[in-house]
Amino acid sequence: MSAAADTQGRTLRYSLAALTAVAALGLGLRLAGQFGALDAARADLATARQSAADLRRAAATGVGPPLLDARAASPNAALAQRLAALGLTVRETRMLAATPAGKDLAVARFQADGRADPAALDRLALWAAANGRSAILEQLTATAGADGKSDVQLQLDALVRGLPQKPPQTGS
Amino acid sequence: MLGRADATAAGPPDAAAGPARDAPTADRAAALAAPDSPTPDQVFVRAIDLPTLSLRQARAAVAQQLDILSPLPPAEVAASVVLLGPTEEGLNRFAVGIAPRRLLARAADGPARAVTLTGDLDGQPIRFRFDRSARAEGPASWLEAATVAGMCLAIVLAGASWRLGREVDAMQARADDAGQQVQRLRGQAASVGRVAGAWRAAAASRKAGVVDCALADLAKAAGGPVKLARLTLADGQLTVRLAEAPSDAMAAGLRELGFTPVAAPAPAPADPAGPAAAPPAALEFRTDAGACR
Repeated sequence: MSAAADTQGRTLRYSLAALTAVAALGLGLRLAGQFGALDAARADLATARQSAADLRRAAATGVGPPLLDARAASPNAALAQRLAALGLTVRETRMLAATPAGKDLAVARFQADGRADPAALDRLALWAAANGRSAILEQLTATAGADGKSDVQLQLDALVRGLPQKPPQTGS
Repeated sequence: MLGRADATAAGPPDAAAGPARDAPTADRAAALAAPDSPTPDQVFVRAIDLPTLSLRQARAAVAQQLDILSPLPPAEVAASVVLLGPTEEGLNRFAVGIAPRRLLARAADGPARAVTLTGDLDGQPIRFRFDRSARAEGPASWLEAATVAGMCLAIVLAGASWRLGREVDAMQARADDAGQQVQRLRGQAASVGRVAGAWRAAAASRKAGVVDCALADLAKAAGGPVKLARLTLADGQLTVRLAEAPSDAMAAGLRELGFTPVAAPAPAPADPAGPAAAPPAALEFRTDAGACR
């Protein structure tokens, strides 16, 4: 072996050693950065999960307690049954619109037509006042008829649980 | 120097007289004191008989007894073993070449890992292959060892980095998903908040109790049942239309109870030049939850 070859080999060895040291150092720095990124991602995930839990709780609380449960029966029929229990003769109930108001909860506007005597109207008003967290009597029109009863048309906003996305438009 | 080593390889003729385990410890001193004691430029050759054919075991045996076999301090020499053949006693004879490390360092000109030197045993030349130990190679070998260690470290770090990178990616993906979910939930919560606000405002302004209050006040003002033509509740205001014109006392009572008469439109006079017609009595009265007492 000549001296030049020996020098060349030594240079190669030192170069390889330097390259290895640089690579190890770079990888170490990269690893440190990755640990930092991992910690940051973990913190972000924890924060997002906490926020999601808070928002879910807030959404689950909703606007108020439901008046009707659509999973048990048709909301139109359930409302008609409630009005009938107050003494109204219900001809028709219709759900006009609905909007989400919490987890599995919606505000639905109903319109009902029927007949009622003044006492039934009074009961209806008291019932709506008693269920003020779950229902709002938006509009009530009673026109007196010849038989002492009135033709009644009312619009009621009510909280409904389990309402499907596309509510049926008509009912009885 | 290699030629010198070849030319000066020597060994005492009686070195092969018996197994190494029988060699007296005084041999070393004798060898050092002997006239043919090796110089630092010579390969010293001895023969040992061992009950094995394995070169590895032979090397191990030589390494254990190097202080006995070597004429120089063991730390300054390197040993190589060559199998010569079986002996009459059923053992196997090995030639042990012992070379000073300084000789190896000079003989190995370059990065070669092994040096071949020729020794002489009973006039028979024997080629020994000496491995250059780390100690003999000095800083270059240390550098190589450090380089190998660094490479191993780099490989480990690269593997850890790759794995950590995947973990970071997965964690960031989960954080992104959670962030999107939070955005969606925030939208839902805002929507629910808007609905709740509107609901509360409506509940505050549209109190159904005004119907009961107004019906009771009507009966109170009329002094008994009163006949209504129409009752309308809208926007929190209750409007009643009486079937008959109220008396003045009843109208006054209704005003006291928070009812406001709704003025009917005045009829157009038949003769514009004639006297103005008296305004009709109010049939409709309006009240709300705040006014109704």
